[in-house]
Amino acid sequence: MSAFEFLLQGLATAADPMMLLYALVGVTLGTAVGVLPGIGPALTVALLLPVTYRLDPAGSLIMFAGIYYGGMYGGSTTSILLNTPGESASIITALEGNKMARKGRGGPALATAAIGSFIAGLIATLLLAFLAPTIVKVALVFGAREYFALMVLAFVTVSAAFGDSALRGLTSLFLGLALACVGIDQLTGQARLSFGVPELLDGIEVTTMAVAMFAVGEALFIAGQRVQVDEEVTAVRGSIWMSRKDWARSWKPWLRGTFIGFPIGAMPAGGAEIGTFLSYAAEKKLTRHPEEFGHGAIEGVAGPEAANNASAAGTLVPLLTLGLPTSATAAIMLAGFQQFGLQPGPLLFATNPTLVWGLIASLLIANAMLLVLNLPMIGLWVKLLKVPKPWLYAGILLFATLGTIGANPSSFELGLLLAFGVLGYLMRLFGYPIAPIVVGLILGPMAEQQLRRALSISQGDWLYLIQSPIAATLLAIAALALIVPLILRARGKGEMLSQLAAEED
Amino acid sequence: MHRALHSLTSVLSTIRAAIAVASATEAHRHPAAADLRRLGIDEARFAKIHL
Amino acid sequence: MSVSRHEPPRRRDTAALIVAAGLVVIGAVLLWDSSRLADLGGYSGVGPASVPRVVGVALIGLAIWTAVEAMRGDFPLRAPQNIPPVLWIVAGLAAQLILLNVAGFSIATGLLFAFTARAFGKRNLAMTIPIGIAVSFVVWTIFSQLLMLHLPAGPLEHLVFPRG
Repeated sequence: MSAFEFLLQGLATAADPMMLLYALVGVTLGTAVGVLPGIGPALTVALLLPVTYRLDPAGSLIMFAGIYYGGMYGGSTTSILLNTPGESASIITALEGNKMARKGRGGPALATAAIGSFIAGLIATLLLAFLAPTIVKVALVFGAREYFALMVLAFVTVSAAFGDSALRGLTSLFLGLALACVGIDQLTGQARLSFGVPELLDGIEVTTMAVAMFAVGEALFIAGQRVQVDEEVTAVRGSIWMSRKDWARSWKPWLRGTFIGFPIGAMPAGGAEIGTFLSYAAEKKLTRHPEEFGHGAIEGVAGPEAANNASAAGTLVPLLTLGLPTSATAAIMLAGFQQFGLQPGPLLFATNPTLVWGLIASLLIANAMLLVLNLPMIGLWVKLLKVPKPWLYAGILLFATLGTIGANPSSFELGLLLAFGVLGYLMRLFGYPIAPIVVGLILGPMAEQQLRRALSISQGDWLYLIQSPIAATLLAIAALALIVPLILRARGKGEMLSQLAAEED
Repeated sequence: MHRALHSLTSVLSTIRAAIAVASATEAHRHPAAADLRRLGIDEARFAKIHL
Repeated sequence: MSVSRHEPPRRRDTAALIVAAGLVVIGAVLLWDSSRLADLGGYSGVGPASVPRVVGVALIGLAIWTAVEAMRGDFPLRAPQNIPPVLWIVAGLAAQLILLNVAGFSIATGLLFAFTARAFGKRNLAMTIPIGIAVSFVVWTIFSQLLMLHLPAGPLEHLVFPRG
């Protein structure tokens, strides 16, 4: 069957009233967390994992994906009206969008963000649907060593390759891998690092860790800031509709943003925000109105907002086809699949096509729902912006602990939540990235299992790992991604000045 | 040939700058000025956004 | 981040050295724990102790690297922190975990709610604690009665829902 037929079948699944309800709940929650500064999609999905434990797997996954898409829509509203990004993927939107809002052009800014997000989401979701079967076909020949190589590549790119310090990225990753060792060994049944504490035998819960890192750590960090800013919400004046000129200036950035964001999201390099910065750089270079950049250029809103939605869809490509998360949110969604005993990857397309294609098709529906939620109903979300900080963070911690207590009502689990929360605070304080520790905890056990499986096939011969061309290529890329940035960084310190000179041309 | 190489390095260094800025802002830190400049972002304006 | 004006360029970063020491301890714990495992590597030669050993060695290596950067003062500048609000939130979480199974979800979480609000500037605990308990009680009712989540009940919950 072709991708098109699968997609039609998926649409039939997704049109089920219950599934539509799950999608609606997901996109509404997603928009809300996108609008609220301080909580992102990764945290929201982590909070919902324990609550959805007993619900329908397909519906829950549709809801999670809806949250991811919705977060990208909602984040732009906060950036434009508050000059505080609701989401890290909307930071750049604040640059031009808030300027537009202050000039009384908040309506068109919100409109170009929402319509751009819709178009990008639509194109990128279709790309996902048509690319997935091809990648699945390639991935079906993957054995243990190829998967191991793929995970090593993900470890390197998430932690070391691109962050501002390889040292801190790798430290965060290895802390995650150390935590992943806690519990009963899957192959021999021996207890590792549990120190006789029965609660540790099951290992560290991904949800506890993620909630602690993203909710508790973030709240502690924000509370610890000396300067607390309370920005005024810029009211939306005038029409929210775009003029003919706005349309003419927006459609190209939407398309460019889509095609920049999608591959960046699929690359194992990090979150959706990377594509937004690239899109901004591209728009600034190509614009016919360079004088407007920095003073409210609509292209600077249209491009990045399309890019972040396309990235969200791009992230789903490696997640669904290979089981490989490329960002913190994708890592938490992987934990969501595992909670229902599902392992994303080529086999899932074969064993459970209804679920996979229902999920992909429901993204198209969710995207359309989001356009309605974010344009005509924008006034509702603006009200959310006015929730005062004390109540906002008190509420976040209330729900953060609710999820943990719901999964396991023990003081020990709450103690872990507190301990990891303090760890998350210290990591933020010292400039350690958060994504690698989460990815390490989730992918660590899988990588170990694949490595041991591969080596038992080869009877302990390590060369076996690089004797397949695919695995060898992946490991070579991983090695390059680790070493090249280190050399560049070491050389870069001396060459900073010459680089500055070169940029003048 | 030389021109192709030049534009490739320029694309790669733009991507690198984007990733560096992304990882800095993720951690509520202000990104390096050189990276912002490479992306065409006005430093002073960027500093006004509350990360 | 604006660079602090009065401080001279720092050389040794003591806090980062403590981080390095912490990493050594974690690495050592991994090595110690893996040394007492029966390494049933079998054919593969890679058993349950292998990965913790590699991770432990890597962490100690990273600790050395951290110490070098700390000695050279290469760590990014940290913004001065406002410690009391951080401690209020930690106290709130601690109060919740101590009281959870004694006083029930609503009272324990109400304290967390009030302490967090205090950390962000709502200082009047006489007002925020009752609000926190009321909000937590509503949440408890929704999630334990409607969504069947197991949330510990205490005197307050038993008073309203005698059957729990």
